[in-house]
Amino acid sequence: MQRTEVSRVIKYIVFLMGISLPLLVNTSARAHKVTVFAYVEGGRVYTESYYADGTRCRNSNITVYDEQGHEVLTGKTNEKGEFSFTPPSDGPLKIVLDASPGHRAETVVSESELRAGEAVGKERSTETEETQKHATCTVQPRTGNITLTRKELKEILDDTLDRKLRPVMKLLAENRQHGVSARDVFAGLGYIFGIMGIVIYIRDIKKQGEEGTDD
Amino acid sequence: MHISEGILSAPVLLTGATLTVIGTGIGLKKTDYEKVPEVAVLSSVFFVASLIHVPLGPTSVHLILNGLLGLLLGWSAFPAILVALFLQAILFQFGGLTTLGVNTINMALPAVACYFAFGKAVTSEKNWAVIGGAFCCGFLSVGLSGLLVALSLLFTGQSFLNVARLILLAHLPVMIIEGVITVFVVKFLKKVKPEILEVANAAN
Repeated sequence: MQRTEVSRVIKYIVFLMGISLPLLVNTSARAHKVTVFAYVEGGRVYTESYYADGTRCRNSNITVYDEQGHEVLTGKTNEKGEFSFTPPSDGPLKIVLDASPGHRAETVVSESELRAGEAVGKERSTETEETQKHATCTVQPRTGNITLTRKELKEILDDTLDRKLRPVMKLLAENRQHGVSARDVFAGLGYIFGIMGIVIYIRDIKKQGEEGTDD
Repeated sequence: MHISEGILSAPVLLTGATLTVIGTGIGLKKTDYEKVPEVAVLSSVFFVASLIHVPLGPTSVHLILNGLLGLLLGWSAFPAILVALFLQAILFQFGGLTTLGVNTINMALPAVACYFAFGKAVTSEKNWAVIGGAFCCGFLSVGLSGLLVALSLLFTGQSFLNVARLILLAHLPVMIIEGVITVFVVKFLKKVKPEILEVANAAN
């Protein structure tokens, strides 16, 4: 009787493993979780929102809170899951995404990020003015070439790097939100069968103890 | 369907946790030791099912398979779903630890309800009863979970009807797919191991 029970259970496990295997193969990180990612550029805060499978969260609510937890502003993401706004203050901001019922994610934009981003923004707004100045310089046949101060060079570099790094930042954000790896899946299955093993082990000890007292 | 952290208020979280503790207690009491491997296997199935994304409908949805768990496990679906959701929360960051209770009750209660509603039909001799029962079990368990999620969100100021409509609309493809999957699994089990369905009935 016991033997048939055990073999029944084993066959059952093999069968169910059979069904769950195709599921295991398809572990390309697809499930329900949302991520919001924010970066500062040119004095504006840009946010992008995704589901865990990379789908953009369209038409989802974004709420921005200040340090004290007061609501600063709200908005909705566009078709590409993007939403951008001009921060009203320099303080750190908490950006909360509320996508379809029950899905919420948040991210924090720190003070330093805001300052750095804003500096670039200010630089850019003065940029046209600056180039204008240099243009007039070059017209003068006396000098012939453009001279840049250290500060100006830094500004131009910052600006260019900011622009060049933008796709990289996006890529990083996309990678970061693919949270599910095959390792996580196998870890979870390991835990489940580990718990099963412990339960059966404890039961065996109890059983042996009972048999021991019977003798 | 996993409700994230920071959305629900404390009373809702506490109610969910209490109901889950009660359900899991009943589930553990009703679980024979012989059934432990089955519970573990189905818990793993539930654990990985949420990775199967269904690219239909307006939002991103995934398989749940709580109807299948309920049908095969009865009350033992509670501990199975609790363990799977706990691991999903810590490994995949789906849902969260504070919402674990609410999420478990949302998924497991429909599983048990469908077990009581369709458990008998599935063991019947009539083919139409088996197919109908299995399909309804897979279909309705997801639907009921959606309604429970809407109910949990009721106290966050969102209108119940709107949320319920949104969730059910998004999950309609999943409901149909799960109904079909449940039919296939039940038909298969009836052919190769019919006693699994009978045992599940007798144990509760």
